[in-house]
Amino acid sequence: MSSLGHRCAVITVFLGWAASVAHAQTVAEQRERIASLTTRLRTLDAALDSIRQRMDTIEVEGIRVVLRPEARSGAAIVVREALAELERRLGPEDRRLLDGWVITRRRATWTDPPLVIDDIVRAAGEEHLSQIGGSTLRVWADWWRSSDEDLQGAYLDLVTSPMVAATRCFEGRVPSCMDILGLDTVADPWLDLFDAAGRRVWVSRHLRYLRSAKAPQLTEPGRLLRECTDDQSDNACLALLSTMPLPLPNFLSARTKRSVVFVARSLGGDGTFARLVADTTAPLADRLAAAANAPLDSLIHVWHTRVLEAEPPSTGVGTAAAGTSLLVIIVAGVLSLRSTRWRLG
Amino acid sequence: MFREVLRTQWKWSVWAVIVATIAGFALPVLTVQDAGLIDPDAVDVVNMMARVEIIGTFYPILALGAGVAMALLIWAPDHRGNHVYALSLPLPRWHYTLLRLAAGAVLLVPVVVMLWVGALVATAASTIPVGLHAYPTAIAIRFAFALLLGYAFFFALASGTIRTTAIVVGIVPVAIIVLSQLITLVGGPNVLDLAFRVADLPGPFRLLFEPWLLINV
Repeated sequence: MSSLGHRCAVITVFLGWAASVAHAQTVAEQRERIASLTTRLRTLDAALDSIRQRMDTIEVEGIRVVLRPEARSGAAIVVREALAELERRLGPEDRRLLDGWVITRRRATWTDPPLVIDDIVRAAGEEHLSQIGGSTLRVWADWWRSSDEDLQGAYLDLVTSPMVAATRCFEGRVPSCMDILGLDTVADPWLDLFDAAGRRVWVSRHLRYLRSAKAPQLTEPGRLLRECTDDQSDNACLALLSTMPLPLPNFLSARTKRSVVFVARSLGGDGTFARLVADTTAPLADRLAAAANAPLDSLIHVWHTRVLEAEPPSTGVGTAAAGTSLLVIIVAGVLSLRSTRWRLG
Repeated sequence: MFREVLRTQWKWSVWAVIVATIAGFALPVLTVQDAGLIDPDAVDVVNMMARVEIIGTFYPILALGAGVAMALLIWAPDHRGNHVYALSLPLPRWHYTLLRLAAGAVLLVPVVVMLWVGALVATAASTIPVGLHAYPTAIAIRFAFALLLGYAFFFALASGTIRTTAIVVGIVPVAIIVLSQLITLVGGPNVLDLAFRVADLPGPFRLLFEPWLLINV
């Protein structure tokens, strides 16, 4: 066979194999596969690096560390401290999700242990996310960035959202909260989550997006936009929104989603993440309930309470603050009048 | 007599008043501009509020800075002249001090007024997302309180001696930090933590240190 013929045969066989594999997998399975391949690739990359650059490898509590040989002596202690910190933050069960993880610190210094520990904890957060893969769960499970400040972000999200369902959620209706969080099936988000005013606000907030190339199939966006925002025609808004290309922009910020898992962790304790990633085929709602070790509506109810507690502080001066401040001002004024500076003799 | 005191204090503090007044007007305008509220396209409310909060840290700094500057500037000539001018006046000490205190407070009024005007202009020119509100008057009132706090406290200090002021401003905070570290070292309670808890009680500290949000829920 000629060289060209040989190449064609190889390409045909490869394409045939790729097509058969692709047909045999769902999107979720493919994502899992990509995530697993990425992890393997990183492991191989680290191993190759250690050969190429004469790096050394140590193993600490199931975690391999690739580092320069001269850093070997002190590194184990620092890594052990970092893992203890991780265990304190995640719990032993969730910490075990990182077993087999490879930490590569080629040029990084080990001389400042608190900084190294912080680095490793951050990298662990990224590693967790990479294990979760490219799924939507990544946004929810980003514990490294998660904090109680996310609850305040969720509060802001709810009060400023143009969704009428968000207002209902803010008022305490758990099913509405599930709808806006995407934990329940919604037939038509534009009709079920928004009212006419909300649709108009959403359109006016996303003008750039609507005008951008991301919405090429909008045949007459200019006219529809004008009719929607200026003439306040709900039909125009609906026509505009119903032709929006998928995926739709997020209705809620990542902070709000993280805040749900933040609350789930406070309920579920150690093992929250292990349960969250245990069944990759289960719907997100079930996985969150499993993570929290509680029924979903209980989790959402607690989340709602915590969000309301995170209301931003008032801008004005409260009566108590005004009263005590006035008192301090008067006392300071009186003290200055009674100064002994001019007393002679 | 009050008019004379006011006129002399104006001469001594004119530049400080002008700078503080301009800064007072500019601060709310910068707040809405930095937060992207002038002609917003897609509004990321959480990010916007974070930026409003960051710029908000400059309100108490300006209030305390202007108050402290005014208090120190109006006593400086008396300290330089060994209080001869004040002693030569046919006034009791308390009366003279009261005139100084009142004149200084009057000179700080334009700073508060311009901050209020700036906040009104800035919020009128911006598109505030649904669910949020502008608080120009509330922030101006809070600013007035913070300004008066800083002014009154440092006025009282500066009315004594420069040494007293230096001791209170320089040595006392350092002493508190050192003492707190020593107490922690011997296993005692964390004094700084205690101080933060006291600051969190409704009072002057909370007025200064709680976020200053021109735009809020």
